[in-house]
Amino acid sequence: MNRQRTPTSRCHEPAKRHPARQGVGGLAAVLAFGIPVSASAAMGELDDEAMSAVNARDGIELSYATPNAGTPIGSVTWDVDVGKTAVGSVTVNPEVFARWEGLRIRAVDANGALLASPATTTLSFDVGDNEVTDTDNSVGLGISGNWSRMRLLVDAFRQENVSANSPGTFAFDSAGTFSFMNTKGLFNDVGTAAGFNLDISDASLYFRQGGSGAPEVLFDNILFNVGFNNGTIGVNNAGLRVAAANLNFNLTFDLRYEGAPDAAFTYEQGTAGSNDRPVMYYGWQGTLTDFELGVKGGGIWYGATGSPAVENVANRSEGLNFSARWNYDSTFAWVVGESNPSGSGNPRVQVQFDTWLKINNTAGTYAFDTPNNTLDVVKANQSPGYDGTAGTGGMCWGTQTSMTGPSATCAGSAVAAAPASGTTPATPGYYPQWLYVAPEEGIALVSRDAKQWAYSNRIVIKDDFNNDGDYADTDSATASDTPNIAPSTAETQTANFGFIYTLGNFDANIFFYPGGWDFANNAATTTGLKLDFLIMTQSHDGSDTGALPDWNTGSHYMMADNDVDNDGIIEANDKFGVGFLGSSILLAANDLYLTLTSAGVNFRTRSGTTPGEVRVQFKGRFGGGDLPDMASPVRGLDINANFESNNFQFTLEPPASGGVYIGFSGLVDFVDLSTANFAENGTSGTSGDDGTFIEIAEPSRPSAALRFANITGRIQYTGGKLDLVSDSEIANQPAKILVSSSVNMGATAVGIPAGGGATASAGAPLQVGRIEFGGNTLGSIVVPSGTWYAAIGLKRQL
Amino acid sequence: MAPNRLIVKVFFVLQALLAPLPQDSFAALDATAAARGQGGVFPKLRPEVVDHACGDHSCDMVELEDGVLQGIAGQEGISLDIEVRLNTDAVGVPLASLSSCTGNNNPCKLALTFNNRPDKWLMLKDYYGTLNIPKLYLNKTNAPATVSAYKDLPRFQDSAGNCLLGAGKASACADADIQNHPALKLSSPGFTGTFENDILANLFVGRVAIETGATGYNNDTNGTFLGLQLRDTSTSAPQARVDVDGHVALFGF
Repeated sequence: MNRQRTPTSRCHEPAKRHPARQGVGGLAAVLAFGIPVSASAAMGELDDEAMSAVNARDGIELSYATPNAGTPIGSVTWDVDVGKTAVGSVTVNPEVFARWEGLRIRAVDANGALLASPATTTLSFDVGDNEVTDTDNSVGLGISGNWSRMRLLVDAFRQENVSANSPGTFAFDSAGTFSFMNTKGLFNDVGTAAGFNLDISDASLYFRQGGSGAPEVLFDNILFNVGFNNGTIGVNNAGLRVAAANLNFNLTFDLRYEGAPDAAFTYEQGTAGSNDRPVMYYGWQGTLTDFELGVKGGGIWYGATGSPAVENVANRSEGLNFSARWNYDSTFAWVVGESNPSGSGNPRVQVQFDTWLKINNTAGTYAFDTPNNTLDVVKANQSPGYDGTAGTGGMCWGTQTSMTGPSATCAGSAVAAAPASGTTPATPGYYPQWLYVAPEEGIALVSRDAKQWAYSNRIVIKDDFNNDGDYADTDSATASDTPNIAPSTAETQTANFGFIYTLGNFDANIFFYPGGWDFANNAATTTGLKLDFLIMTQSHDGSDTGALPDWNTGSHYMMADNDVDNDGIIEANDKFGVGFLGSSILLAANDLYLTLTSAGVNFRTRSGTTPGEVRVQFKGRFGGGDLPDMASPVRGLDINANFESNNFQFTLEPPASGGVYIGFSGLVDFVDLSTANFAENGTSGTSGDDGTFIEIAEPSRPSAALRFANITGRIQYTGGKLDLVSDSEIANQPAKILVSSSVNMGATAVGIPAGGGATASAGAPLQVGRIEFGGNTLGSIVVPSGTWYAAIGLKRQL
Repeated sequence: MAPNRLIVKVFFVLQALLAPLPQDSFAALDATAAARGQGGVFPKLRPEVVDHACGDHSCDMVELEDGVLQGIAGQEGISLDIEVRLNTDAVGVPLASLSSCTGNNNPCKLALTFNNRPDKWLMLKDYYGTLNIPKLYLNKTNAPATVSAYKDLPRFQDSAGNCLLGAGKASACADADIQNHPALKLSSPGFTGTFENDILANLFVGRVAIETGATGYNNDTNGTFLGLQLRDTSTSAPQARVDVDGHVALFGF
């Protein structure tokens, strides 16, 4: 459905040709492919009317049209490291390829139905100059193009040595335009005369695992616009460099799900009885400043360097890597909302996070900076930092001096080793641990040292009370938008509080493998997607001691009150943040499958005799302080919580018919994992190994800790909801973000165990093995069964 | 000792809530609640608010200028609402899927065991309850610019007598360390003269018993020695209601 939304970003104006150069070139050509030409066709005279329609054309235009039934492309193969037997001094054979198969292009309508007409593309070249910015009238080349609405279908994605497997089938429907111009050479990286614009309107990305009728996830109503003038697009020794002082960026989409599709790769929003369900609306809109993007050749790196040794990032195999950084203009907004279930119009309610502030104003720092992101095809064991011996190449969690490590130690760490049993380290949760997940053959997406050192300082709540498609109060001839539901006053409301989520230092090793899992029979299947990953965002950057979180470089998750005195005026010394300071988050998984089921998008560890494993850890300080610099922090509590499971099930669910929210459900068997270099403190039973635990400690005296250690047993959450509740949904309450779920415990949590199979069984009692206080064991708690429920809402003070 | 300091800190918070409570408040509140037919199940916690600008003298209300009125917006701070249910549905009725928390060895049970008392379980049976905090405000506050006569600086020191406030220091706390010290402010909306339902809670524990054995928490063989119910008996709604005025200031150190 071609919902019409107006991007907030300013449209790029195409570069105009200098008047003095009008007519330069004078060459016009049109090449047409795929259009049948009759052998008996003869040249005929043009009549006067036809002659009058002929006018001078500049440049070269290429156009292409598919046959009515579409065009097969065949396959695209990404083959890297051909013939290589070493990367630098590391003896390794990294040659492997990935292949996209069954590619086809065909015209489709706005709802995804196949059309019996050509899909067309046009590409134009023109010569001129950029009269806006190019003061010396240098000759430049402009390229522009467009494509009609068409579908790019990718039947399968396969790896060289697991060629029977595929994650599923993708279909991308879109129409769009683009333009690009530069002077003094098409890829001249000197000066700021380049301009670029890309507009993709009403695009849809479908994904399913299996044939027609399999559940589909759909990113729909994708509006994507990126453009700039006065920028740079050039190639230098480092690769492709794109830079712009101001870059307009707009990407919004609706997330939808069809557990039982009405039809394959089509879109039935708003159709009565349809299984096509809206889940959420999401996007980024506005202007990025000081934008830089670098795209370079070079894949996964191998070996170690330096003393203490760290992974040798410069020693790369073949692949692709890119870097990006920018600051946020005040207009930039992150938006989250509920898709409109009626099938048209704006989201019913959306929350816009804008007015971004940097937490670090040191020269040379950016609000967002991701210097090293690498995409590569890897063989088994070839993790970043791999030195030729299986089991090398991993990441350091909790270290202060080295974020990543090539071997089984996090070299150079100055902090103490893991604590003795029943005690906490001098700086709780900050002892280092080397973590490793062995990759299999697949696609690797790796990131190092990414930073988001900024946060949104204002929240705008847009609530379309009367569902007339806008957020204005008085524009309807029949009814005012102004709600009469106290205490709301307008469809667009601004709250002077913000939501802080910064990333101090983000590192990730993520591996994607084609191939699924049959959980009932504990057997591999050819269609599906498996994941291994280590993802961590940490707060210490090598300079702090762990005693006091570093505000300028840390990961903070807080709510910010920007008008403490509640006078409606944002002033200096009138801002305060409360939440988690100096946080670190670890997400680790081995053999976690992503499966599209009739219930939703399911993440689940492999079942059977060697089940998959998941570990999640959070470390942070609950407190607060004055914004924007947190000069006088309130040091509340240090929290360190670690969760380990060999039976992890989590399903993101579409809402029930008529509803709009994100549903979720799942099941977790908490265990004390013993996998070396994955579980907390390694081997089970050794000192300090508490498996799943929650610790609350005094910031100034970490040994004064309340600790719920060695937690085992099962919880099962059902009916979970993440909901944006509109003002008008609950009388006399402001709009709020609400998270709620029921939780079954122990024997009440009936589900499939880690061993898999088709028979559900009752879970083990939820048990807190040790309650410790100040290092002394007080006792234990067991919840054999029961059903609890929790809901927490966040809203304005009204 | 460190554990004791934690206890002291909790006590400090409670003290902040309770200490200013006038001795006659309970009676007055009960009378107010009784007049409304509310039964006075819970006392109203009402810290005395002292307007330092006025001292002990009464302050006259003054008119606000138009400009000031125009500047008044809705409260912009952060508000949380929290709801927790233990084995009940949305209205506090025990779940039928849990045998309505009745009968031998029904699923509504929780077990505690204590150190050096292995295989002896203190069992809470037939338990269910709810807790609802519809509006919990989070704001910032500061300690007064001038310390009061009730200051207790050693409270903020470690066992060696070193001050833990702020970045900490190797000496005892001084007045300056606590003056204007930032704090998190937890409060509920409303006025001291009005009863608001700031906390709604009910709890039912049908039986408390001791069970034995390594997995004694699975047993339901021994007799009970205690039952507990927390609710508002004056209305059909099961939840007791608490009105909280004043605020709690949380100082971390």
